Amino acid sequence: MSKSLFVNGISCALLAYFNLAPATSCASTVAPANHYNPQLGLNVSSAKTNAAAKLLYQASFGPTPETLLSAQKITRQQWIAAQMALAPSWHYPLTTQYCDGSMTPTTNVVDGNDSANTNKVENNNPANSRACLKAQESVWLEHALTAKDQLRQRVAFALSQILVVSSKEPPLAKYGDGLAWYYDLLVKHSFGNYRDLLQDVTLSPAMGVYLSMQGNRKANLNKNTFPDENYAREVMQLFSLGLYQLDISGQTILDEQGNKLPSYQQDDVENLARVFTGWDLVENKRYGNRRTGRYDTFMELSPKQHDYNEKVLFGQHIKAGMKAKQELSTSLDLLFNHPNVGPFISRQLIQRLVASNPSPEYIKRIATVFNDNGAGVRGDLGAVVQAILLDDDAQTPLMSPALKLKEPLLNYIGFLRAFSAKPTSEHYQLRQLNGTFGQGPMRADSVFNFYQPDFIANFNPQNQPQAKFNYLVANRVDSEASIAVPTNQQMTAVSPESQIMVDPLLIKQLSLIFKQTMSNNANFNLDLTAPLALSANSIDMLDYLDQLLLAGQMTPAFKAQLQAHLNHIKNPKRQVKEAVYLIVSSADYAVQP
Amino acid sequence: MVLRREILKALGLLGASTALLQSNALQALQTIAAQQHGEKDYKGLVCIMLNGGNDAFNMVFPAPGHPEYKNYIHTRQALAVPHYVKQPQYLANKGDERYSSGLLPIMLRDLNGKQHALNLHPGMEGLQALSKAQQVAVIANTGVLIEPGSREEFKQSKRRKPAFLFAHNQQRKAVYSGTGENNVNTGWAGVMSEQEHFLAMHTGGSLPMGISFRGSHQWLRGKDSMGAVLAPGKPGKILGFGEQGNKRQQARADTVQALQSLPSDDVLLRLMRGKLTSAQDLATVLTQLWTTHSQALAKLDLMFGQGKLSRQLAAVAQIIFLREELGMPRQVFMVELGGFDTHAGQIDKHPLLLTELSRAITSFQLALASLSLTKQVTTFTASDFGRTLTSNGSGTDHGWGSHQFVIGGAVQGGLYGTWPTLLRGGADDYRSGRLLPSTSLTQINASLAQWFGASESEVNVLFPNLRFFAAGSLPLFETA
Repeated sequence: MSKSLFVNGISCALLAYFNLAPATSCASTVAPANHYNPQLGLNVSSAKTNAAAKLLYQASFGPTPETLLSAQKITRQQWIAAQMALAPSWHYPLTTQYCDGSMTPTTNVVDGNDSANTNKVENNNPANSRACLKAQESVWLEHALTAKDQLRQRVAFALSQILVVSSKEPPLAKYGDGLAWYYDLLVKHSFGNYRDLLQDVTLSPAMGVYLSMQGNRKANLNKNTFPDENYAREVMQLFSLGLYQLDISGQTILDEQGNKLPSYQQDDVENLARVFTGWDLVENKRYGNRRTGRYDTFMELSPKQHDYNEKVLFGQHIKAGMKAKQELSTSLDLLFNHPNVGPFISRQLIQRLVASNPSPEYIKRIATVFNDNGAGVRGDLGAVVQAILLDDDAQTPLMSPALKLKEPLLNYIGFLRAFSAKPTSEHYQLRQLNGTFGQGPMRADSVFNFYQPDFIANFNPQNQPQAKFNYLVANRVDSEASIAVPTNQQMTAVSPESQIMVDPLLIKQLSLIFKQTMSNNANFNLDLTAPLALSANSIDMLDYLDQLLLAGQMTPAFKAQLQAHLNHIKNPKRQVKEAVYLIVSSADYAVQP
Repeated sequence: MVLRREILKALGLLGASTALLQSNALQALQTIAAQQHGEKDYKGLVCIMLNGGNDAFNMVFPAPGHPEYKNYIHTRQALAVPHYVKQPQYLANKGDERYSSGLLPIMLRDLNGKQHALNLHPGMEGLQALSKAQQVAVIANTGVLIEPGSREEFKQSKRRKPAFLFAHNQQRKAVYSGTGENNVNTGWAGVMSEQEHFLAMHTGGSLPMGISFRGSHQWLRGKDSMGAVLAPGKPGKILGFGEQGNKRQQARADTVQALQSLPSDDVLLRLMRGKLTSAQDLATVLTQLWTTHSQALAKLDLMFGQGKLSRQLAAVAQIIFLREELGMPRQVFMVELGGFDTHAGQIDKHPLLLTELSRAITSFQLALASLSLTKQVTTFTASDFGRTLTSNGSGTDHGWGSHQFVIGGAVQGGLYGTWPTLLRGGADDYRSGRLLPSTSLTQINASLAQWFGASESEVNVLFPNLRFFAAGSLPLFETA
């Protein structure tokens, strides 16, 4: 590390970038390295910058020069507290504004008190409907790239991968605004209580339509029809309990024969399905219609369609004749208070933010906070998020083994944020988001999300017939170098994100990174001022990029290889672009610091 | 002309709706067939996954006169196909000629020689033609079963039933493992590809035996390997990378390769490096092949429609066309059509899915005929599970037993397994309209593996539970 590049752990390039450089302590960023005054090495540790970069990859959509500068001045805890105090950036108002230029932003109904003021969005025109879906995606990108409340937005995105709805269910493709309204529930409750979130999600139009709880009917023996079990099953399997019983550290409890123990029975599904009858979109033309009611306010009860008979859930009796909303609330309480919920949800949140394979102890520490935030409150997501990020296991030292792969979409957004990308068109847009990255906001193929939390990549470097034909690796002369791995490091660990890192998508992503870096005809303008200011000395420039992009984890060998490559390039701008491309397209960038 | 007649005859399509056959596609046949030299040893196996749990009870159902016809109509009520197809306003709303032909009768012979009068869903005209040509086996009421047993035996846990019945992800796992077990990550095609003689056949091949067009796939996953993942359509190249004769690109490619070859003992980093290397290599190989064979591949593509499954099967046909260049005498393919989890709006969604299924399969059989591979490629359907016989008023719920197709020139058409009683609370009902399968998927899988060339001992390795089923593997194929 070129020591005089940092003052109090803060990169001089960053300081210069903001015209903040204390002239006495910082080397001139445009001067060649050998002009540095060696006596200026004050506090030369870059550890703070790297730690801040690591935090920002875990808890935001990646550092920008600005956020990296401010985050390294304060502690992790202070940063989290400051983030949680920020006003939420909502998705619905902007979406309605963008999906029809004539529409003014509406006050957010989720946040408040004003459903009367909310513009009702009519979605009868197909062109307008597609526009709304695009608008919703565009708003999501805009917030990911620019919103101040990054932690909240990042947690909301994590929650959107647990409480999954998706535009792939046909009616929802026409309700981008309805999806944004749903997403705002996640934004609202990101640091709120999981119980509140569960109820809001249950009664939301988007989830109602997605898992067909909306329009569900009590049994009709004349027509030989029975209630729909869709939401009843998935709310237990995916949104609260999980399929099998877990201990508090998230480990599966087995019976004497080694079998997993189901956390609910088919009887529970059928009874809960009856609880979830009678709910429909407000102002719907006919009970159960999916394209006529409102998607911007919670569903309402149609008593005629509700099953008022007694239900038995986990052995508990829910009396006949109870009010439908009370019954729903009682049932959700039963789910929410099940001991599985803490470890089940905690593990997945850890996986989205910090680590694919959290240790049982890590899960236990977080689940314990989920069960009780210290003030006797269960399900406090703010406390859970804070505990996840402040845990020692989230703050592993530089050069430790990688804890997770980045989500492919977040990998790319991190790249754009690192260079303060500004869109070249009116809105924030990426073509074929899902078709390029295998994921997008509320774009999963099914309620099982883009990848499974337990996906294990089959990668066994010791014994690979893989090398014989899988991916042609064997034909490469250099394949030997990459085969020497200790046996104890075989791929038994899960890496959910790797499930969607498949060749056709990687090819598109690599091409997109190239186009965005090198071409003048890209979706975004990148601000390369800071690395350009350092380009006179490629080591300084690489140090800067190392901190910003890799949180200081670039190995000497990697750096030497880059330097050798850059030596052949004379034009400073091309040098910078080439370096950025090579780092961002590398495997090293794809692992989260 | 002779060729055309032969193909149509082989497909049973003489006299079938010409809408199925685009004339330009027919012209393409002769050209392509002429380019394929000799008949080398080749076999392909294609799994069409109907993701979400297909309601096969509306895909193949009793015709009037069949003893189960009354039960079918009574149990399904508004969801029974004859009911909703007969509603004129339904046809008018769709503005679609698709169902104007009405129901599609097929007559299937079972192993005892008994004839079964059934109907195919009205959207499945092509499959009716294939069925008439004796190229379609219907396996009735099949599903994941580890061992046989009665409803009472399963309910009292006297027999092992697949764990977590009715849960999508767990039942898919049981389907892919091939044995009804869902505590494993491997799939039977992947394990088969790692058997010694299949490994030997593919030494030097450019791709693994298993190829998925729907992402990383458990069915193609062995103990040490995963199948390749491809996407339909012309393969993409990586911009700015490795273009021959371009010095700047070559230098960049060299550096990228050097970076990816750096030693590391970080597992995730190594995994990622391997993935990037593989993507680059694949892009190189496939773009070259596509350039060399662009005309023939484009003609093959023309035989297929634009539906999601059609696009994938077109790509399968293209990879089969390239089998010799790729050095692949055996190939297994996974393709998928999603959207079958029809809890709501089934009457609107399901007919479109079945129509696409039939069109894609018909095009595929046509393409195979043009490559003279009708008898060398077998295609079969699979799904998460069957659905409930009864509806919720708008759709159906997760079930268990279901019907599946096995299709191809080597297949002995007919009805296999036992046709179930279509009554909630009837003899085959496991609970609330979910049928207990009478034939295990294992019995179908074993038959497919045997046809594909797995030895007896390999079949036993793949399907250790086959011995629990007295009937063994189903005799789905013509004996040579």
